[in-house]
Amino acid sequence: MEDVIVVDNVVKRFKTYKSKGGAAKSLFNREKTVVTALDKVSFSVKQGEVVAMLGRNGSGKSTLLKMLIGILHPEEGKIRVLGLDPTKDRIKLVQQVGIVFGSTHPQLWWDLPPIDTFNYIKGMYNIPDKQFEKRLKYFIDLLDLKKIHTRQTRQLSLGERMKCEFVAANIHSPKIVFMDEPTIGVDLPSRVAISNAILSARKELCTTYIITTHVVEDIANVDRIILLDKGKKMFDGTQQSMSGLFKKTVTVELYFAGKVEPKYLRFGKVLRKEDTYVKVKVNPSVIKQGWFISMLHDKKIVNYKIAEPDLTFLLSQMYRSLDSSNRGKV
Amino acid sequence: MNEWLKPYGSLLKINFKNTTVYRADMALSTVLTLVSSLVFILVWSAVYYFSSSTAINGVALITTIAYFLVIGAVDLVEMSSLVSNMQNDLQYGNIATSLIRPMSYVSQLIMGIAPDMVILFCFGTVPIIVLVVLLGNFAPSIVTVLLFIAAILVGVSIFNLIGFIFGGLSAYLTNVWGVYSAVSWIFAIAGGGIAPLAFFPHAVTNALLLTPIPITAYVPAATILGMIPSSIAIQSIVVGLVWIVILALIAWFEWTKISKKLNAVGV
Repeated sequence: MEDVIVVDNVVKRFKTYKSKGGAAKSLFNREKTVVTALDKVSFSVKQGEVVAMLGRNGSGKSTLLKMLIGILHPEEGKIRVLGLDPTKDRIKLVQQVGIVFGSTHPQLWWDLPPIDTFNYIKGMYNIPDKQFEKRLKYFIDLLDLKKIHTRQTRQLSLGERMKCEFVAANIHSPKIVFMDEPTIGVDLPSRVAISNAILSARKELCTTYIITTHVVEDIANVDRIILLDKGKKMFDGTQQSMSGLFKKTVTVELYFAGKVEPKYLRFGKVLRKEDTYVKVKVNPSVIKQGWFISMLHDKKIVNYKIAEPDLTFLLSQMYRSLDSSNRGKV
Repeated sequence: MNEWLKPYGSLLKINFKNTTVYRADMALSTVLTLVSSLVFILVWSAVYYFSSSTAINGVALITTIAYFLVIGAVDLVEMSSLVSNMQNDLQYGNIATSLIRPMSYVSQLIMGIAPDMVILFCFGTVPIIVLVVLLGNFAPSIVTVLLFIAAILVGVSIFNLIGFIFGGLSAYLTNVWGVYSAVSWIFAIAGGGIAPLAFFPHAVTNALLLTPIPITAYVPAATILGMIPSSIAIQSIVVGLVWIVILALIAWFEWTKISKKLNAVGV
């Protein structure tokens, strides 16, 4: 697969002003500061990849996304999207991509039903009638929009609106879809529906998806994670390779018929303890040992669960390690 | 439809739909726009009533009443939402949703205000003017009607270019309503929105006719009602066209600066 996005040593700085106290004082005396939003960021994305861009607020995710579609221009470095320079060829580029700006900048017309927005996009991108009908039916079925797309947008719930925003970004069969925090405030069924729709569209048309998000469920099925922090790329790889960065652990959850006895708390670090339940973090080698296996067959244990650390845990570990290294405690 | 024109047609169509979603609201706001005309009619009727003569500077009361109704009708088509649209786009970052479309922002801006203008012109401006002309027995010639339409087109262009320039300032000033309100008042006073320029001393009127302001209100109204000769109307239209070029250059220069700012720091 060819690279559809190439980002090479991109730098972006913003000038901001620091207040120096009261309103009158800051009116005449403001301190100018330069914030580096992106600091020599490089990566490439292949056609058909689903990439999640993660990072805390202000890490540079949205800035990078706006640069990829030509709204913001880089100060240094090079960006190529579908072989085009977004700075010079924005109009040519946006003809081939789709964008979801979350709920902050919706593209659906607020007072009109979503179907009017879809028809507008049909004309805007010159989609042939048959192809449009086919795509529309596909998305209506996929996202269960039959009773939704003809109702006024303002009457729809946030989840319904976001599903329609997804359709608006995908109906013209773009080669790449950029999604900036598409599921903030969206309920679980809608999030799952959007996530499944991404996988289906990728499978059907080999669409590339770049998703910036804070929601861990959004990235459960992505191919790759790019983690930004304070404008720098801190990680680029799969979820599995992220877990490889940390000391391997597994969590063991035990459910008891009666009260938890102290002997069950000694084989690892207790993360949570209740009257009849305990969650313990252990070294993976522990679960292969005979005494552990026979312990699980103890009649006092009515149920158990052994799992690798989830993404939430990995990310919190990642952020903690970034904070430690920023404080110089590597 | 031509492939190249299709996106514009599509945008125009959805903007038309959006404009006509709330028809009652639109009709009410059209009618309420004429309230200011009625206020000026009442004020000037009082002035005429207490004046010793039946005409002020040669303008009779019936012509003044017709004048303010025509001014209201012209206002309908000129008062676009361009400034508020631009302020929303630049202040709250909504411009991002325009920049993701394969069309220039300025084209999208024009397509956004065009339906409002066309609808208000057809269902507001034209019927009011026809009524005023018929009831007031003004009987304008074809040439006068054509000059009136030309003056409106020039006026609309000037008003929107000024709106664009001040709307664009929101990229720097954040809130431009204060500045724009002040400019609107200057236009109302110097453009004949509060008193016909015929009431002013000749030297003042002649000086004002060299500015881009009277073509936005006084010139079209005075033309259709026969208050000014065709030669003055033609001269004002030519002056207006020169101002369109000047304002377009200012707008282009400003937009180049704004684009650089947007591309550098975003919104």
